[in-house]
Amino acid sequence: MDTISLLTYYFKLMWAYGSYYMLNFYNTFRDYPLGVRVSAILISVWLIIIIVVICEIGRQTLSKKRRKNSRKNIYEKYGEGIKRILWDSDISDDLSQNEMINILGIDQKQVIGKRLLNTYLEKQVFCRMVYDLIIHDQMRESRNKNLHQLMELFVIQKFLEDDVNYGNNWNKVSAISMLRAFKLYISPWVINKLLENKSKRIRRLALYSTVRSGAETDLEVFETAFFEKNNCIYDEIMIGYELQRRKKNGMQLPNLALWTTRFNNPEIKCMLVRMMRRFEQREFCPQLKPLFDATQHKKLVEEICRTWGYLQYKDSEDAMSEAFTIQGDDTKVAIMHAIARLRSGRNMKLFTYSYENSSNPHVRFEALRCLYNYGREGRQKLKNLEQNAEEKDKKFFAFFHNPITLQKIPLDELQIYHQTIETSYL
Amino acid sequence: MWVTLYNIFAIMVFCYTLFLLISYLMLIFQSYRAQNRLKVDLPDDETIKYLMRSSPLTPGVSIIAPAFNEEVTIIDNVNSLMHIDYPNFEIIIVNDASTDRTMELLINEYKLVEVPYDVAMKVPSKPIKRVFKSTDPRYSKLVVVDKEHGGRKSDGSNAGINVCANKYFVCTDVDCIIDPMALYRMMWLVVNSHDPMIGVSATMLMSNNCTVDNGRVSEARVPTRFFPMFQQLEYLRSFLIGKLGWSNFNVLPNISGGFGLFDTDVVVKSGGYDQTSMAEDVDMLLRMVTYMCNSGKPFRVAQVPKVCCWTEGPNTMKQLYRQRIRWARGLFEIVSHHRKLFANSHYGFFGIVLLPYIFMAEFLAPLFEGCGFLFMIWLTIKGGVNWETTAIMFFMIYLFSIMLTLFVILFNVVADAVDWHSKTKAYLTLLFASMIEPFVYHPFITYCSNYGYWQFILKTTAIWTPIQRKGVKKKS
Repeated sequence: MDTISLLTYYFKLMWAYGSYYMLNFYNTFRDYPLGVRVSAILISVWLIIIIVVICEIGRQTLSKKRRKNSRKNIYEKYGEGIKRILWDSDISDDLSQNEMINILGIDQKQVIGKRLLNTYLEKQVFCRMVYDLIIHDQMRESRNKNLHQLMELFVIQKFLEDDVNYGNNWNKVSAISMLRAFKLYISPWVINKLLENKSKRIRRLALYSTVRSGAETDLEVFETAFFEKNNCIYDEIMIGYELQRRKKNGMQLPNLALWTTRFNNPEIKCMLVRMMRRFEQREFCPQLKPLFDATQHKKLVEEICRTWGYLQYKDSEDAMSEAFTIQGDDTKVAIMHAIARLRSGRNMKLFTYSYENSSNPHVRFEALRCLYNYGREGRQKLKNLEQNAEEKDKKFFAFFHNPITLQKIPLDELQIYHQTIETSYL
Repeated sequence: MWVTLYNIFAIMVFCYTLFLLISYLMLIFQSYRAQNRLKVDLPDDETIKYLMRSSPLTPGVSIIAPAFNEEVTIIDNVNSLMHIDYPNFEIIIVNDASTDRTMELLINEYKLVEVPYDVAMKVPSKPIKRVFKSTDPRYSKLVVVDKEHGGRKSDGSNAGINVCANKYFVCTDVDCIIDPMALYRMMWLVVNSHDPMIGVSATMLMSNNCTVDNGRVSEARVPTRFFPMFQQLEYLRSFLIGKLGWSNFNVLPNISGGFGLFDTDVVVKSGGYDQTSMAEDVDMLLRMVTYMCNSGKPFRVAQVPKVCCWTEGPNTMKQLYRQRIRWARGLFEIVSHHRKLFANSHYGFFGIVLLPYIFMAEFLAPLFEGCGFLFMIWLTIKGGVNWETTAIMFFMIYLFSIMLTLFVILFNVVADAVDWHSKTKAYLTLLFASMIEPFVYHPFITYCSNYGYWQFILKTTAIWTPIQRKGVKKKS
């Protein structure tokens, strides 16, 4: 009997049982009121669901147990050896597969013509183990050549590529994350396919992979409508990582200032300007000037000022001081920070003006901080202001001088990413 | 005439029951979908930590914990908060003018000194008297605020908001035990959201029978005492089915006052916590939603399925009775204060679906049940009960309740929401609780809710009585 006939037979059998049950059911409750009939039907439905749920709980529990056992076995078998291969300073970063087999304590004869990992679960658990080891030890750079050899020995690349191509979304995410963590090659064809996936997370991971491997011109994948519409803080975190990796590998970084012109979304422009600061792209600072003049977006103006200040772009000082009076309080603070970093000696009056005229305590406080960071001249001015301060402003200065509040840290040591919201302490 | 009235009432009750059953089934389905979505979108803890720990972009979080007369547990609790694993956070303990040694213990233990802060009052709260910081660099994340007595947690939370310096804050109780990974999980959803995330709710459970080691729950157990056991079941149903299901539509019925993450700026612009409200957490969320909708800004809310916080629930019947009366009054208050949001398309899914649902399923349910119970007694006295029909209907509901618990267990297994010390024991206890709940716990809760509504109608003065904590087991 072939499979189809068998299935047809079972289907007919189930149908017969079902029909019999339904008929019996109908006859039993035929004369009862509607409420009872509905309740009786629902009881049957609930019972069926309960049986299915109990089976599913059992299946899930067993599957987790099996995974746990497999994990334990793989860890016991290979865990220590892999740690040595990846991090032991006594071992070279150019091990052959035979040497690895020796370190892992595998019998050479058993390996010939056989795969070290046979089942899907074993491969999955093995990948997870290496991934966990790598992310646990993220501060130590693993040995790249050994990692690649190890992946070849256990035929991992093929397994992960298959998962990326044919697995469900969860497997896809997991596989692509691992491919990235193991620094394995991901073909552009696979990436392009993933860029069209419905899941935003998968599309994101594919997008980040292009930033890592593509030539500078290839990064145009950034310009997908998806990125324009769905950008989030996580994008900035990941793209930052990838660009850092490019920089480390000696690859060229894109001109981020030029990129700001290619997006309409001001949030993405802000992100790119912040990244310029992070990757110290001083040479492109002048290219931000047209954007600074044209934009009405407060946050973007703020980011441009911070970038100019942080990267010591001295030609920007006049533009910033001109814009100072027409800007909102947050942007004023950003401009003051930038000018304090430039320390040209030309615009110290902005700080005293802000302290004396602003009604916003946050702006006043930041003006004091900028004066403190403006060298000897600034500190002298700060002293004068303190001596002439009214009684209500004394607490202002007391807070500033208090060593525990850490207000005297130099502006250069403040985070590149200015995160805190308007401070509530004067 | 009586027969007609009886028939109308019976049909109403029957339709209402069907509505509830269908809505619960819908929530189960949505919760299942949310779990599948989160399986892809919310990676495991280690990966989240790996990606967020070393980034300078990881947003800062302030943890606000109001405390009043907590001298017995305050040091352990603050130490527990210090164990949270997150790269950029501060802890703000708000002392609501405790009359015991709470403040003194804090000052001595953490080497606190007064710093000359002058706090800008962004949201209303009782005046802040002093602000302390530690001279010991190990406790540099700790800020202690000493304020005048406000009598309500909301007042303390508002004082904390006035001092908080981060873009996001978590509001919690000082006696809560927070999972070290909680902030990572919640903030992962924030950093991955395109639209501004205004609030994230996290699953909370009872710590009543758990063992705590070094400020962390090391052995999670279902409470064995009668009332906490039922509450555990109730919490699991509410978080893993209710809130997770609703979060799929970008709405949440509330973000628990015990542990919830909020966008500071939106909270400040919405006016902070209402100091007079009995349900300040629901009220806060609704006011934030109102603010965002009125300003025409898109927003998101989310629910984390994994347990992020453990809290000690009422141990005795009396404490539970008081708590549930307060909740019922709070619900009535919400329904009356925010009535303009109900069925109002301006407030999107919140106005069109969620709030009418809360009114129908949460607010009316105790009234229907109460009336039904009285009606049943009257019919029994009159001899008008068809026991066969009653039994079959009751069995249908009873089976549904057990089915819900089984779904909770399934979701627990799928999402790894709680790592129970003994899984089998925990699941069997939950099943046992669900089997006896309809006879014991549910009628009691129905009574409390109706009495709470009655008190609200009579405008009886509400008294906020804190729960007497017994403390958790510590690993020897």
